[in-house]
Amino acid sequence: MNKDEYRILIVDDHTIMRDGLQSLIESEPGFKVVGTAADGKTGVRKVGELKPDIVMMDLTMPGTSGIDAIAHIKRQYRDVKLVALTFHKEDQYIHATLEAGADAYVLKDDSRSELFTALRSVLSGKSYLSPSICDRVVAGYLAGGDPNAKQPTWELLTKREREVIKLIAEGYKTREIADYLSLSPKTVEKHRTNLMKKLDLHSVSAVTLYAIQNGLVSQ
Amino acid sequence: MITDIIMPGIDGVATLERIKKAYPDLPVIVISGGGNVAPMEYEPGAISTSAYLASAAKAGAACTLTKPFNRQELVSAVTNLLGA
Repeated sequence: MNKDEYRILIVDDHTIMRDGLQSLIESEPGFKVVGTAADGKTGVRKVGELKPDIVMMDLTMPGTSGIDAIAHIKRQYRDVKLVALTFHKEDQYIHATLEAGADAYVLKDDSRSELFTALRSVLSGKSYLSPSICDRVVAGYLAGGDPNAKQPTWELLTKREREVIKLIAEGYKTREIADYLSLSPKTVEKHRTNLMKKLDLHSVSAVTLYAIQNGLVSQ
Repeated sequence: MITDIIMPGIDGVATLERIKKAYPDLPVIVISGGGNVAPMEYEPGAISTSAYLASAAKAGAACTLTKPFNRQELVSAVTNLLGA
């Protein structure tokens, strides 16, 4: 990819972070922020409207999470580069984000120069991992060949079940979840029953606690 | 006025926006140290801290300071704004 100016879309639910990132990025020649969004669903829609070269995506957001949004965008717009920008260092986040198709995983605690290194890396067709998580990713890769390695319970869930558990933990009712995900309430009930069975959870409060402990929703 | 950014309830940037409407001539110094990581993991040049302070500058902060700063840096910032 070789252009005079690269178009960036920022998706983050915190206004301060969106505004600040926009200022930071536009202080660097060759980058222009063409739009912002406060949740994953709006982010996916804006990719279609604004045709950015790069999407910078927060992971924990209300409604559609950044991980789900990354998967949607990667399926529909193969050429768009996806940079996950997050505070999360948990293995399940890193794994799910890379599996969803992110080209880079950057921590908000990383230095500002690393952000631009990540942006330039993905534009040149390379992947980028924050130096802070490289060891974890390598360890996870090596443990992948270990039959005794314990599979995180979160990975037992399907993509749809992860969307449903997140919305339950955020306090949405079955009908609201059904409307949000364009499913019937009966299907949502089925996903809820299945995920609770898989995770051995027996109440909505246990589901909420699980979601918080596993970083699916903010406290 | 000197304000932090990450605070419970209304954050420092929203506070700054309100202050600038009510008292446009009041110089505001905004400070931040990320606010999302444990002190041992804190990186002063972190993306989050830079973004928070850039957001404050956009909202009209007269000056921004990254934590940790020493007494002299704070005194200089205040002195410059007071024109002393």
